[in-house]
Amino acid sequence: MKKNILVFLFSSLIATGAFAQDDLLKQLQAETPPPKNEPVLATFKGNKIINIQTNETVKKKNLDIRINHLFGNIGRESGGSFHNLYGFDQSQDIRIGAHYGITDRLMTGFSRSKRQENLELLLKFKALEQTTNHKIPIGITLYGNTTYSTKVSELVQKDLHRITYFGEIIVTRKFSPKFSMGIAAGYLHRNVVGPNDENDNINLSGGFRWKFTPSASFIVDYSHTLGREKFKELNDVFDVAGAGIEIETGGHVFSVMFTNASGILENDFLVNTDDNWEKGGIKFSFIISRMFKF
Amino acid sequence: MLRQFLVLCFLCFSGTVLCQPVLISKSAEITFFSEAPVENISAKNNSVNSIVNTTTGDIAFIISIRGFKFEKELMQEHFNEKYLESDKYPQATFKGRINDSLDWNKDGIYEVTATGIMSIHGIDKTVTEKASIEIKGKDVHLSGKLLIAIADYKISIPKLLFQNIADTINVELKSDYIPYKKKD
Repeated sequence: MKKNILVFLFSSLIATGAFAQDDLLKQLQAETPPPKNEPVLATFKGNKIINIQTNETVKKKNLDIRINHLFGNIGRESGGSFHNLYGFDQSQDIRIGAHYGITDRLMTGFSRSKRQENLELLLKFKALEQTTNHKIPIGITLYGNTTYSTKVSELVQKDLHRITYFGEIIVTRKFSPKFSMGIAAGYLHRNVVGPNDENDNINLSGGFRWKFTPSASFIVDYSHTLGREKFKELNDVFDVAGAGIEIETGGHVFSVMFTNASGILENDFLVNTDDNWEKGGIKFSFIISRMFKF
Repeated sequence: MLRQFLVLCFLCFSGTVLCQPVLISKSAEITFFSEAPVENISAKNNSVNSIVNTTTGDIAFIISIRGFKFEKELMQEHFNEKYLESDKYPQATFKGRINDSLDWNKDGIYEVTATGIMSIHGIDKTVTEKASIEIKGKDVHLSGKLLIAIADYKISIPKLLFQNIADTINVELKSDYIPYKKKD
């Protein structure tokens, strides 16, 4: 009997010796709180995929200076071709914006866009953030802006006519470290519109980001504004599509994109896009963004 | 016979916990610093736990990668998303043994080395690191400085784009231990 006890003790000692470090680590693991509900990072890399809004906001006390340039049409049928270096001679739209993080979830911004001579004030709020433990599987983000156009136009009778409003709800999910998707529903109100047009428009959008190297992603998005078909015979109206590559360096994100959008702001391109992909109505576009921390 | 068997079972299961004084630290701190031409990068992590078995000298650490807080949020995002891939590898761990024998009941400062397996970014590597253990009554304080070569753990940083990160990171560790009581 005594021998048995010794054998047992001996074997238990060996066991503790050999596995002690693993056991100790397990013991510590049991004492370590499980990973917190951390918000998922970097669903997208910027405030927009190409044309449509993402869930991303600038973090607290960070200032993002974004310069977005949209060149002219590439295709001959849409006014491009070699004579203007496939649209490089033109600048369809330029947006210079400053986005500032009030909190990690609330962002404000101000911008100026060339095409409609719009001054823009924006607000974006992450209402719900996707978490790393999948407890919250999606992110829900609210976006709104108001624009004031300084353009000379015969439609404008009073200052109020220069104003448009856009509001959107954006649902996003990062499916894997490499793949993120977003869909959005938006509502645009313009105080004044031309004939054969409507003041209020609802639109639906979707897009994704596929990260094919740690620093480069392929991005695609698409927007459709409801009820525009009925004006098709009088005006050219097209859905807006975009595709591009995002390259990230230390403090910069550099995006090169192709899109048929006529402008950079939703308040413009959702209802004014009259360029057709099929007729070469595609434009080259890029964004340079630089983040500053205060 | 049955009684003896039960006693043995008891010894086997509880032996490690009951007989061996174990110290734990739930407030350890790790800081790192990378000096580079363009900008210095530093981060601090308080989500670090450690445990020591004073009889065997076994020691373990668990470090939550998301716990590293940087001055610039963008750096923190890059660190998690691209370099350490904290989605895939949420923790870094060390399990090893203190090579030197020391008297845990006697006050003093002991310079020791520990050898074991460091696991960062899913890569295991056997390392030997220096540390200093200060014992003062019931207070046990461990501190150490180590160099981590990022290439050892397959953390790739594109050289062309990121000239502002050094190849070797200076890591500092501080840990205060208290006696471990098993949770009921």
